[in-house]
Amino acid sequence: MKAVDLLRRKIEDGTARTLLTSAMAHRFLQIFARRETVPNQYGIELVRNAYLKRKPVAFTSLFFPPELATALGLIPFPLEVAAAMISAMNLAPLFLRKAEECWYGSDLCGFHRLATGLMLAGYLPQPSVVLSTTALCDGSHRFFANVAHHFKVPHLLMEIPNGPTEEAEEGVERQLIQMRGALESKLERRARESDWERVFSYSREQHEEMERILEIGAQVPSVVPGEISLNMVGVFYATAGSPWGLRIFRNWRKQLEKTPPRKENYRLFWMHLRPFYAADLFAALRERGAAIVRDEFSAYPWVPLDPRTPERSLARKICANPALGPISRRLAFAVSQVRASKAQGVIHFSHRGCRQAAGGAYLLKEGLRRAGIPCLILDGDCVDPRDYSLEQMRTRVEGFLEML
Amino acid sequence: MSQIVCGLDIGSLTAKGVLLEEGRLLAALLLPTGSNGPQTAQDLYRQLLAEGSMGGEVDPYIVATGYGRVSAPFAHKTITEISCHARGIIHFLPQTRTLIDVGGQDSKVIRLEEGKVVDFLMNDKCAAGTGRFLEVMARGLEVSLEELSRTAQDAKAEVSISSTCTVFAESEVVGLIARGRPKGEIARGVMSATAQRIAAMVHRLGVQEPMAMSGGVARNAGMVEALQSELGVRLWLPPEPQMIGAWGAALLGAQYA
Ligand code: SF4
Repeated sequence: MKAVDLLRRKIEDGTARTLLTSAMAHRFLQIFARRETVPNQYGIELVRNAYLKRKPVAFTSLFFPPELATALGLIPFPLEVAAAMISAMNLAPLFLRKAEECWYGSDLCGFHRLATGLMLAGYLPQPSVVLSTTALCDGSHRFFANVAHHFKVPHLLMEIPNGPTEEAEEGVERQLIQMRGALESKLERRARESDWERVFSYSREQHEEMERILEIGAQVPSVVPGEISLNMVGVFYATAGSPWGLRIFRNWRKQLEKTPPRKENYRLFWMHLRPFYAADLFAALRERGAAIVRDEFSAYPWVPLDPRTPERSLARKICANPALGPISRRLAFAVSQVRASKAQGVIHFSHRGCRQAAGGAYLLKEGLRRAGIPCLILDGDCVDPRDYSLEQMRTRVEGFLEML
Repeated sequence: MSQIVCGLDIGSLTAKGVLLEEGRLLAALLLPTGSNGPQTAQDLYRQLLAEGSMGGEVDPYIVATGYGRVSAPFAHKTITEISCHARGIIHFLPQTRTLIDVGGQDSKVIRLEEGKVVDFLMNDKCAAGTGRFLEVMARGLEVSLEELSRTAQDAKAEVSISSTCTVFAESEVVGLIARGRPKGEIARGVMSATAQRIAAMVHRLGVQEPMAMSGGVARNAGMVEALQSELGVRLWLPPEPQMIGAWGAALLGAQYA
């Protein structure tokens, strides 16, 4: 039996909560983990570290720089990634219902609703602090504030201006200095230059691995299984700066180097995140020889990180996000990535309730059309499978492929 | 030997099939899909062969399309309704630049350039703007689909139907009847509401003429009229609009055979 199946069964029969804090159960999970896919290995490791309280836990938002938490000896626990994993295990409805029973509206972002359901059902570990940014997501600061309130821990929020200007970077740097100070006094632990050196070096090496993975994806035919790369995106953001983040991506790159090419009739570039539960949709794409050769979030531009000026470096990294700022920035980035990965078309997955992704989809489609790149806007939910119909999705996707 | 191809369009409400020999129509059939899609697909195919006097000895190249295309595993190829409707309409009106296809459970707008699909849009996963919406409203008004169309065309005024949700719209219709509003005016309101939803999709892709309509709903004169007035353009209708997908499937089959 696979580790995820075991976990699923335990959650369903209500015994998982006790298991999550049992060292013995974790030893078993570790054994199972060896047979798991790379993203699941990450999930298992995260659960082990956080529930066994190996270090204090910091709940983080997707675009919060985990390097800061790691340098201070915290375990970054990314709630959106946890929600995605639960959805990939086909357990989302259980927790979404829990949130909805407690009046969390169904038009809120599914990632937040699902993580709220996990929290209300008692499946999240006790954090010491909640760390989030306003980067891209306009709903996240309220969601994280609510989580902090529930666990009665401080919520430290960074406001991210739109775009990579000098002024924006200075503003973020100031907030990072304040946040670091607040965390150091709370944790009674200081991050020394050697901590930053170590963390930044892992971050750089992990990024180099990712760049090699992107190059592998750009080969024709591509060997990268796009549906797994799309699972890796969250892991990439959440583990930057940690030894196991580097290990995960190094193994993933090595695995890809040994992977034989697949049948490839179409090359696609994916924008926003994937529907995590919809393995059948990706199987249908594969059947048609459609390869997702790259995605928007994996191709994050590298910004050199200097341990002597850690806050400035992280501020630059945060502001370099191509999806920040006017839509023209996201569009220009998408066009360059489509060209670099030799993709023929773009699928934009417009996640319900997400202003940043779905809001600009039409402008993106128009801009891509002007650049001669066909784009399909797929409306759906990344984590909530209750409105999903494979046939509906398949017709749209196959119609698009036929058009290419 | 001459090339024989078969196109099967297994929709949510009806299954359509055409059999062509060198582009010449041998047989065309429409059956209700019913609850057993695979059986319907088999029956449709057999009846097409019988009608085209093909017996069992010929082996046409078969292309299946429609939501139930997977119900015809004996087909040599499956192609989406998007490509099939586009190919079908191009056969009848080669200049078409926009095709509106409204079927039982979905509606699509397809943009064509020089006979090729360059973009398309489908309705959200909801019955609003589809044949199913009209069917449910006809049921609420206790009239047939034909009567719904006729009374709408005869009505001098219309009442507005504001709900997008089919279930809520049905109760809205029932409420309007209870308040004594004439059925014709309600029927016209239903047509307008459906037309507005479809027109919004057309506007998203841009109004490009010549514009044609296919799918079962194109047989509903009241609906075509409502759409024409909403869009301010004349819609071209092929001879058997509900058969266009099957025609396209067969014609594409001829390319692959
Ligand atoms: S999907 Fe959109 S709304 Fe949801 S967490 Fe991500 S950015 Fe925020």
